[in-house]
Amino acid sequence: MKLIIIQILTGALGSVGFSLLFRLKTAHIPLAAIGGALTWSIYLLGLHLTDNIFGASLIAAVFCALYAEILAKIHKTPATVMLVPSMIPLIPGGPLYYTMSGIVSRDLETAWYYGRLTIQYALAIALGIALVWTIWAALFQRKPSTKG
Amino acid sequence: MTAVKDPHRFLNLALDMGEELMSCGAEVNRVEDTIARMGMAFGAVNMNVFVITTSIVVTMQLSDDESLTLTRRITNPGTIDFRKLSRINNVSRQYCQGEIAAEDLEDEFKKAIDPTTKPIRMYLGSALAAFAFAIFFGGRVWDGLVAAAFGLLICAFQREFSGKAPNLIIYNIVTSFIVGLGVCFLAKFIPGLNLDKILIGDIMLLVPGVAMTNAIKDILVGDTVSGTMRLVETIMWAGALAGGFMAAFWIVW
Repeated sequence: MKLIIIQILTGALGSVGFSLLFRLKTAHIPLAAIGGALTWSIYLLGLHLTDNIFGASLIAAVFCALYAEILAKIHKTPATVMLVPSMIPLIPGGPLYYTMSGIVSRDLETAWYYGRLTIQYALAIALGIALVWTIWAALFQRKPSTKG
Repeated sequence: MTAVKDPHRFLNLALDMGEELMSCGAEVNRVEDTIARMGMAFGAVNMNVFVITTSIVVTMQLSDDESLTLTRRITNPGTIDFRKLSRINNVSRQYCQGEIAAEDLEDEFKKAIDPTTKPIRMYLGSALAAFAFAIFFGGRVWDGLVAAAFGLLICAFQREFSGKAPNLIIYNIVTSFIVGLGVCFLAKFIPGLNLDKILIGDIMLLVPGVAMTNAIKDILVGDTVSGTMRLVETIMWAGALAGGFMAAFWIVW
């Protein structure tokens, strides 16, 4: 339990760090922190319920994309601005590192295991965003009329 | 100052805006959409816009027998800047809704890209992110602090060199090699530090996670060319990082 709280807190802190790095408006930084914390909480909850990394990160990514789209509509800013900092805790930095160190130490079994994990995370995140983005665009966006 | 009434001049300005959007982290789709909307607001009959991460091609049809085509090569990979992205987006939206007059468009755009960023925020952000993720992935507070110190170094590198480096792959190999060397030495001589957690914290700053996710998203929503280009780019980039760290490992261990 203590570990979970530490992860959620540092996840939010990481989102704040990247918000600063990506020059987010100061007023939006708390929203990014909340987004990061919620996204990781939902990932952990999903993992607990389904025991499936792909499924859990897909659900978390869908949540995060929805969160970003809704906030973007309220604050009249591009959705990416809210999406990227909130999504940061899902980025598989850890698995990527262990893939690399597995290759370096010639432990190909470990490298293969973590390599697959990294790809699973990346695919699930991208799929989640694309899903929300497509449905959202179909529902709300008026296409620019290219015919006069 | 001068009214942007001339189509050639207007389209050039729209391309400037598209290029700036691309370099501060907008998606391909948004750039296409922005240029198309602005052209229609200017009074074009039809807009054909094609954007990939390194180039923009646009044909603005003004009437049945008059059209204008411009292309723009984008060479500067840029740095992610969401404040600038929001501002340019606002200028374009206000222009399309008629809130900004054609003659003010150029000035408003210049105001939007005015570089008023305090470097302290970026240093703070890098240190905070490296600290947080070293602990997030299971490190102790000490690991976080060491990661934060190297986070500052990475930020200085990015500010000083990443814009000037002609080759991002070599740049990434060198950066990860130097960071890897520093962290390995510290972890070797100071007992109790977790080498892997520190490096993970710093890797989060270097890894093209955002670009890779964007690339896969581009492919999934149909911008296959841009997506594939960016995906190949990020894989080579990640390979360069791995190469730099590997070299550092082999030297110290």
